[in-house]
Amino acid sequence: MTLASFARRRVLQALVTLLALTLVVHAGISLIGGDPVRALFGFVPPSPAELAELRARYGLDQPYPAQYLAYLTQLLRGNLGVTISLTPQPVTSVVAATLPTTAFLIGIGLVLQVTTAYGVAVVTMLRRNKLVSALTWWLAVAATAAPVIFTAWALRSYFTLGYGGRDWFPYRYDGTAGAYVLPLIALVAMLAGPVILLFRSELLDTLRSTFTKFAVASGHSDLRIVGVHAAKASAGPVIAYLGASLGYLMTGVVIVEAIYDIPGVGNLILDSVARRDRAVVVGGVLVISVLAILGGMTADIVAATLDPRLRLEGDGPPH
Amino acid sequence: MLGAARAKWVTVGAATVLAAAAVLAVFSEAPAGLDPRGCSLDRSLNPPSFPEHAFGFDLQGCDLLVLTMAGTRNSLLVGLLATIFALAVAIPVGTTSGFTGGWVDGLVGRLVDLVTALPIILIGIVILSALDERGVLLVAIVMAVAAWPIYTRVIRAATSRESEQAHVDAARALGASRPRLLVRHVLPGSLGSVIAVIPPTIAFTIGAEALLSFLGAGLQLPDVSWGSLLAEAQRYIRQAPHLMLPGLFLLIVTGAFVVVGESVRVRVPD
Repeated sequence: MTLASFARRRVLQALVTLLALTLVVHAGISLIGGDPVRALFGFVPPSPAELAELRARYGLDQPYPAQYLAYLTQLLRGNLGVTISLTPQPVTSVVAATLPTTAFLIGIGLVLQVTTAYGVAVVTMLRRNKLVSALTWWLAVAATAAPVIFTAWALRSYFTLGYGGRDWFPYRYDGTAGAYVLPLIALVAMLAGPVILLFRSELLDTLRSTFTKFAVASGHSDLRIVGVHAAKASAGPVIAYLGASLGYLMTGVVIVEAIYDIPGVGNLILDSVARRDRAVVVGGVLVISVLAILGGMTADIVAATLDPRLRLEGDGPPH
Repeated sequence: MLGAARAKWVTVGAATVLAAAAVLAVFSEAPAGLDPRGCSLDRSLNPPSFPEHAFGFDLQGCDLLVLTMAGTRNSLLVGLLATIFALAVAIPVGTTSGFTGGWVDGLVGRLVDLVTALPIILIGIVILSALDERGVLLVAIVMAVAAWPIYTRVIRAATSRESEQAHVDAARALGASRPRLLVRHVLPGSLGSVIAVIPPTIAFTIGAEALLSFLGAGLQLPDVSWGSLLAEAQRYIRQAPHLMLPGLFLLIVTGAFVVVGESVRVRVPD
């Protein structure tokens, strides 16, 4: 299979999934309770005429299948619709305004996750004494086990003023670098644990193999053998895990945004769920999912580059 | 690598914790004097006092330790039900896919890849928070949707590996039918590998339930879980930091699941 046909197949799959996703989320948010138009008004109820007019403006007076089809035809033209509000805005621009913050969290979170896991796993292998090994194992288990909700919230309670803790970091998001410290720690604690455990056991397997003995005999340093040769040979399953767990990363980012009041796509989605503003919810979930799927494809390509055994059939000698 | 001795006592300790949690989940409301509804507003948010009220009181003046123990049932139940639902899908789908191969296998593989790429828990939050009535069953179903691809992937890989073993070929040569091959010769070997994946996935599920409840999309009163207790704590943590104590149960139990999972993984060859 050539790379082009492989890519074509993956893109096609992704499009089918995204289509199914729009249906599930759109129908989910539309069919189950709550009236987005009524939600625009506070305690003063609008007149029936006003309500009817607004409903008609957003197409909410149509039967549901027609509403979804209308949404879908707009979507296929690249139009995510407008927000349901007294001053409607294009969803594209609302999501685009929050995307950089979320993309920053995802990017830095991923980089920190990988470097932390790599660093910890390699150091454990280099210094294989009992204390270091036990310590990293316990840390990794604790990080894997601790629900992100608990770490994120505990950090916020103890290191910001808002809940009566120390005044080390801002309680409310203020755009400064300090506001990202606690969210990123919580995110990395959630993500790095399983990767450390996996990377460790893969490295152990690799270091027992013949090629390690060969590398030792060639006179390479321990650091080079573990950090470069063994790490490269062990990277396949780790990268596969990273690619497969991107949905988990995205969810983590949304949660961290929610707990720390960071104005990103995650908070936008959660706020819009409360207002039943379906176009924004579906748009936000779509953007997050597209990022996750693109990341998964990248992981496949990186894994194949690092480990020739994983290359697509027809690209190498039979084995 | 784990020292063999430490692995042993750590595993035993973790297993004991889980057994204790299971006992709590079954009997939490039975002992007299431990009524989670025995509350009194004049004790609202009172701090812990040892030894009789070690966790203090919540906003309604209910004993937080008793509430936390009562929450064990729902938290564990979500984890257990989600695992059963997910395995009920994953075992037939994964086994068929790995044993048959061909286009079925390709289709299942792609489906699993796609579902794992999606932020299922986020989608779950969106859909659950739109519902008015949310119970343990509904939350467990959302968790199962998130967990089945993990199990399916493992079972599929193990089945396909097991099907190529010599003893399966031997049985086939002796004329064993396909169902017999599958049940008697492939399944016993392939199901072992899924066992190591179950405990950490339960831990993940319990944590995710806490998350849903924390964001107001999980269990609702009068259903109590560790997550719903933490969600309430959120609002009054400033006056009453002890409201965070239910998190201890959460941490210890999810930790025990991960430890057991790691021990199993070391022992079961994958």
